[in-house]
Amino acid sequence: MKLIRWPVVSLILFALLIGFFITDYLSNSKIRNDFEYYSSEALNTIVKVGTLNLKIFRSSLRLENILVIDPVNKSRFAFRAKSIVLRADVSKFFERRMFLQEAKIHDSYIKLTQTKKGKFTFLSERAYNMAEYEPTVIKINRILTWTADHLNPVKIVSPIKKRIIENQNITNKNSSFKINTLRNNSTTQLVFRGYKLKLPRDYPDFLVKTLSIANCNIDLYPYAIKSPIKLRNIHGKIFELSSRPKKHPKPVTLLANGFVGDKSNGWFNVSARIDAYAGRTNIIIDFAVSNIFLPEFLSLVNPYTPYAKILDIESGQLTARGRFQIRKGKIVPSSVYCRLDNFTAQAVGELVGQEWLNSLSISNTFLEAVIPINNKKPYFHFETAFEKENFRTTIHNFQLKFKPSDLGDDLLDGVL
Amino acid sequence: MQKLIKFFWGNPSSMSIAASFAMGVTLGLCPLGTTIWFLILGLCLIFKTHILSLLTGLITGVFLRVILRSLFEPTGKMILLSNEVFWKRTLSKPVICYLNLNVGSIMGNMFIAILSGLIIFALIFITLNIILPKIKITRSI
Repeated sequence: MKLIRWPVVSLILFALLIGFFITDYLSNSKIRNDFEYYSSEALNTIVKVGTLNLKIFRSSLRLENILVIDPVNKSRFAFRAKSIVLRADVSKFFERRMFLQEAKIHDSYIKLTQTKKGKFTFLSERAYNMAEYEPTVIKINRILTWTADHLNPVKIVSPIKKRIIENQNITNKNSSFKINTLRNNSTTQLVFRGYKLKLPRDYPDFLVKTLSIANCNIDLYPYAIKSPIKLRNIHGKIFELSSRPKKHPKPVTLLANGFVGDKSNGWFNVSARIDAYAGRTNIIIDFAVSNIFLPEFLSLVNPYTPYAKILDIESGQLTARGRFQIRKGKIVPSSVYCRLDNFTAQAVGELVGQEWLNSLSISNTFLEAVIPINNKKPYFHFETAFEKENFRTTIHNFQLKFKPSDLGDDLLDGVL
Repeated sequence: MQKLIKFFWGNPSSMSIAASFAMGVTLGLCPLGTTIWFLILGLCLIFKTHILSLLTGLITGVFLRVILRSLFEPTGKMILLSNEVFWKRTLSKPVICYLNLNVGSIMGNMFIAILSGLIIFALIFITLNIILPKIKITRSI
């Protein structure tokens, strides 16, 4: 055909072919640097990657020795992983979406710090306080959307998003159309203002079909406590993790299990189902814990309620199982089975203005209860468990010393 | 040198001149560096366009862009609002979604660029094939 310049077509195809193969070779230098730069900018901290291996033909990305450093304390890292493997669905890139068939995280280590208000953060308390406030859900959503924006190869090729041009402002008096170029270090982004038709999104921009976690270790630092609660050898899977859960019809499903403490025989098992499609909030969490060392665990509860400090617990192993369910944003009544073994504690009455409680001490006690949960505060109803006689105990050594005259006439009301 | 002259000027047909000039105008009117600009540039390179006509058209397009700039945003907005359901469905299709045509200014810009290209193509084609031969005939008479 005389209509087409075949040498130009051949040249373009050749360039594409070269690009296809050269990307694999350049991945460990050029793409790794870009990845580190963008990740550091997005997370506002330092992100380091040991090696990056990109296979376009297999549409997979393998990152090894990933390190996310705390922005305030440079010697402290917030996240570390031996390897992360991502396998994408190439066809979805043409729809301006990112669809990960599989993501695997091996041998990772995360430090989570509890803040004064009880929130958990990857950063140190100081770094968290310095950071601009943003709800966690929005933060996760922003990170996932950012990942979709930057890992989509078609979008990287598309020059509209990022190109180096001179700073210019073109404003027209007769229309609202304006092109602003925002300078961001060496790169410049084009921002279009004016009318924009909102396109429908039936599916999320970023979706992880299956996220597998193998041998993950988490150190939970309760507020104002330096020794962490160690969650070890966590294995789990998360299905249908999306950046737009309200638009995605399938619920997020989570399965995880692991051990608590370095050498203890305490373990936990959690399965959850979170459905946020079309603005609904349906959450089901099934959990089971066994032989959890209670004094350690209670330090996590302190920021939420002052009553946790009423008992100074020396020892006790907690075993519990139950279901926590939220349907249409409201807690569905259910119950939790709890059992405490070898429970030894001393009451601290000053904290609640009941000094007479100081005389209460329990040692080597067994407690068993079925505690109802409902929509009324404080959600966990110990008093109902007492009323319904869903409470069983074997007290070996119980002491309560008080002077009835100090407590008033109504002390024994309801008892006698 | 002869090859270079032939490459730039050659012996083009009236159809080739009209099409190349129109493509040049469209390219000049398109927002520089956008996905759609690269797409048209690729088409200009792949198809056997007449380079000199293309360059002339490109310069004309750049001048036209300065004159017509104020029309881009209102035209695009008008087009997109004319049938929102259709445009939403069409513009979210694979590959098309990368053209950013849901932005009013880009849609208007593209519409005016293609319309100008078609008008210029028709004008040049009519001039070269109908008007100029008639003038030649009347002169020879």
